[in-house]
Amino acid sequence: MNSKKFLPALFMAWIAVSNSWAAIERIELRVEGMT
Amino acid sequence: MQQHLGRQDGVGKVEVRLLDGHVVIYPKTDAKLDPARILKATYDSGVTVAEMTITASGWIEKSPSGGLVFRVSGEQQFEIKPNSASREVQGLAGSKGTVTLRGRLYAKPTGKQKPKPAGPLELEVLEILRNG
Repeated sequence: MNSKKFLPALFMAWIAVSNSWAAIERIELRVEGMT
Repeated sequence: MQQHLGRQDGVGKVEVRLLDGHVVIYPKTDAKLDPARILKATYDSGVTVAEMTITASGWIEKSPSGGLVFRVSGEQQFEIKPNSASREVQGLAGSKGTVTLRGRLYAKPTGKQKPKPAGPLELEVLEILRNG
């Protein structure tokens, strides 16, 4: 793979890995009127 | 309500504690939770939301208006409501590392104000759990 293809692929891989680190781990709710 | 929330996009698991009305929603692996949609779905299931908090990892960035935003992904971000904890995260704006924090996205208005779950959700930082 030449550098013209390798660098964009590396960038896309970095984006994918970065996005997997950033996420909502959980949402907590306090609700009223639950039966 | 548990079944209704469990059917929402990205929801993997819903834990409900009937005694104190505490609900915890976890995402599916590699899926994205949408707090606004979860808030609406909870209202639609016939209960009143008193408070909604999130635990999330992301980046702190400066918004064009001069405030701060917490970016969780390319398209998911929340305006940070200024408070004492947000001053702590101000120094992290623009840094490359991720920060994990717990914040309040919704609190039921007190007094005679009507609950208003619609509109963009602002994040009130409660605590910084991990930095970098």
